[in-house]
Amino acid sequence: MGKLFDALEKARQDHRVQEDEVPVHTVKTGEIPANDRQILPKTVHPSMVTLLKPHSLEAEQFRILKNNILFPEKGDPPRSIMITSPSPSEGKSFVAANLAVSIAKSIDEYVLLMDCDLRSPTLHTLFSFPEGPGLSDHLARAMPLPEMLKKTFINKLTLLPAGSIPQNPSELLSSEQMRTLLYEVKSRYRDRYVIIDTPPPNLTSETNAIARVVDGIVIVVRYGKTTRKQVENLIDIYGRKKILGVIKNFSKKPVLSRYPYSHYGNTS
Amino acid sequence: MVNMLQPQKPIKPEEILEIIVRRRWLIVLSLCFFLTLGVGLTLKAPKSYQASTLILVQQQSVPSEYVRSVVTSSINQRINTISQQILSRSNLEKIIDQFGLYADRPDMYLEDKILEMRKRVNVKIEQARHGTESFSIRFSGSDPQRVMRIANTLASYFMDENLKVREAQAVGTSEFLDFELEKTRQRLEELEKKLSEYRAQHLGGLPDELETNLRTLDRLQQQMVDKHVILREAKTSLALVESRINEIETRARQPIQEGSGTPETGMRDVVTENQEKLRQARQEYDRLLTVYTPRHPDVKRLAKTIENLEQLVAKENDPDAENTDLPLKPLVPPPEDPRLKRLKSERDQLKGEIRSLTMALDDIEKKMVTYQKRVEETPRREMELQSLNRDYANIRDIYNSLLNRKLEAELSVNMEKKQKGEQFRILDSAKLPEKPVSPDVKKYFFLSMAAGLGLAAGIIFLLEFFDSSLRRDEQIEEELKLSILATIPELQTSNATTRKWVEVAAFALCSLYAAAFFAFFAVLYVKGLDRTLTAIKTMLHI
Repeated sequence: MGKLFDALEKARQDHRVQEDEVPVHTVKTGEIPANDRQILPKTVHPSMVTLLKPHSLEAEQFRILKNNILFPEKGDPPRSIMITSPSPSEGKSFVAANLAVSIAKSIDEYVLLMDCDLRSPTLHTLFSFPEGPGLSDHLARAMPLPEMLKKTFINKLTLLPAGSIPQNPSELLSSEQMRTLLYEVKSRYRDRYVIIDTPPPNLTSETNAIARVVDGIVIVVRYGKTTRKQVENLIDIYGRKKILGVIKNFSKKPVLSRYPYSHYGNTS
Repeated sequence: MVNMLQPQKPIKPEEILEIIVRRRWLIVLSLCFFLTLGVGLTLKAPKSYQASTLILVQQQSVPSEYVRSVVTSSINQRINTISQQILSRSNLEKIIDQFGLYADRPDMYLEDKILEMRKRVNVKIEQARHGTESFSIRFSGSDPQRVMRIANTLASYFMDENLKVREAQAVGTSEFLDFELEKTRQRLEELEKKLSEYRAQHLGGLPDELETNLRTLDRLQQQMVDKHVILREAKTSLALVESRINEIETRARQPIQEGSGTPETGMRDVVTENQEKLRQARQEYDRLLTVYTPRHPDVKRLAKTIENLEQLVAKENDPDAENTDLPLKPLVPPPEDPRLKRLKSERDQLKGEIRSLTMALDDIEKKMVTYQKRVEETPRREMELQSLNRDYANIRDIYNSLLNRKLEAELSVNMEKKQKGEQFRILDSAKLPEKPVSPDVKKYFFLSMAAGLGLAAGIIFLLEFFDSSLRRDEQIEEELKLSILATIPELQTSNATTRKWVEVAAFALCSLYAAAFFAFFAVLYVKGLDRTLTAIKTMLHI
């Protein structure tokens, strides 16, 4: 516990420095459990439900997602998981971040969250990290990786930000270096899960390169926006085998029934 | 789009509800738009009033079993005829002049005015029930007062025309029948005359006299037979008388020649001759008695002859004194013998009798020929007479039937004149229309509602039809065959909440707007356009 506490303390100090710099939506206090409130910066993005409202319905859904991934019906759980969706702003980063947090909150799973969306990186803002060197810098300028890994305020969760936006994101991600990196990351830590946030494959080409290396793919579907055809295209590209399943995002509750979105138990 | 190739799954009610909730904006906005449009159009549309006169077609008051009406054209036909008359150019012109219609539009052509008038007049047959029929004459226009007056004028004109038409029809029928009757009467008289002439011409030879003719013929034949018998007898008598006369004359001449000879011989011869005659007469008498009674004229006459002969024979057988005188006498011319004289007169009488008999026979023969001819010609006469009679009977039948009809027609004409026939009666005269018929608030109301909902439904249907975005779990699990790992609802950020409240408020406002217009429309519909507008005006003044 001492180690953990130290790490958290360190992380908190890190983030306090940037509190003023990054304007982020304020979060309603009172929804954060007492023990977490101390370690969370106020600038955490409100969409980080697993952090801010761990007993909320949304957080519960991420727990279900985590369990579905960690305990598959057959075979070993996938260690490297790519989160993708056909079009932008369907909630890839949101799902990736919250899934990562959810897995990391488990008893003994370590998680590396990689932001591979080099065109419009968002993961660091979710965790309220400032813009800094990241994956692109490592691939383009061969900056050493360990320097770039950010320890978050969640123990066991490490973030690899995207870094500065490069001119040639596609080439960078399709490069040999990237593949090596992925292999390395996967093989070095056996107990570690790698969650990869990707750009939308409908618009970009680099996702394909990553997809070949990962163990499993999770498709995020935005309720009422993502079409069947788009998902079918993704299935054609990646093959059914690797696709773990679909996450229905922005889902609306049915008109006639409140289940399964009603609260259960003491949530505050 | 993809669903098109697959069998459609039955759509569930909650899905419809979901779609409605999702597209609520479309529905509300479309309703708002069309209700606004509908109310605007209703208020702006020119108002048109309609007045209607209901006219009952009254059955004739005299039962049709007693008096059959000659006006047999159906009520529909008559109404059509009359409405054509009413809609005629001259009539409409009269009405336009009378009521000063289109006075405010001097630039309008008369033809156009009449065309428009025609459109505004409407004659409608109300549905007949149990044989009673009624129809209404409607007129529509912008001025209620004028509309009412014109509707009433049209109705009265209509009724006048109907009476005129009916009477004219009845009188026309009667006149026609009159003419026909006269014609037929003349023909009948002609035929009658012809028939009587024929009868007069062939009197006696007519078929109904055949029996009499035959009987007469029989009678004549009988007469002829009788006359023949008498004639023969008369001839026999004549021959007898003549032989006697001859005998007497010869005897009177003989004594002169035989005075030198032997008069006895002559005497003896005479006696023998008389005796012989007597014997013959007696024989004849006996024979006749076997056929006739003694009272028969022939028998009587013969008896007389026998008596004469007996006297004669008795005289001859008297003493010779007288006989001896006789041969002396012929020396002097013998005075006329009274016996001879009697015989001669008898002979003359007989001759006259024979002559008259022959004449009578000729007469009878002639008559018989005439009757024979008549009898022979009877079949021909019968045929001729039959054809004449047939013609006559035909014409007489026609005449009688015409006469009946003529009487009926006269009754009917009288009935029409006294207006006891079928006639029109005004049930409801046109009254001042209070509620405009156009704009039809009901129609506008339902149309705008239908258009609003219809447009929304159409757009929603199209959107849903072409929308292949994923919403339901089945789409992912069954159609894409992917498992759903998690379902994450929309995040409840304060921003989103605010937006949601704004949306709810805006939606409520729109709904309120639509409801207000709906309510206004409903009031317009229920209360009527004019009253609502007046009420609003008075309220605004206060």
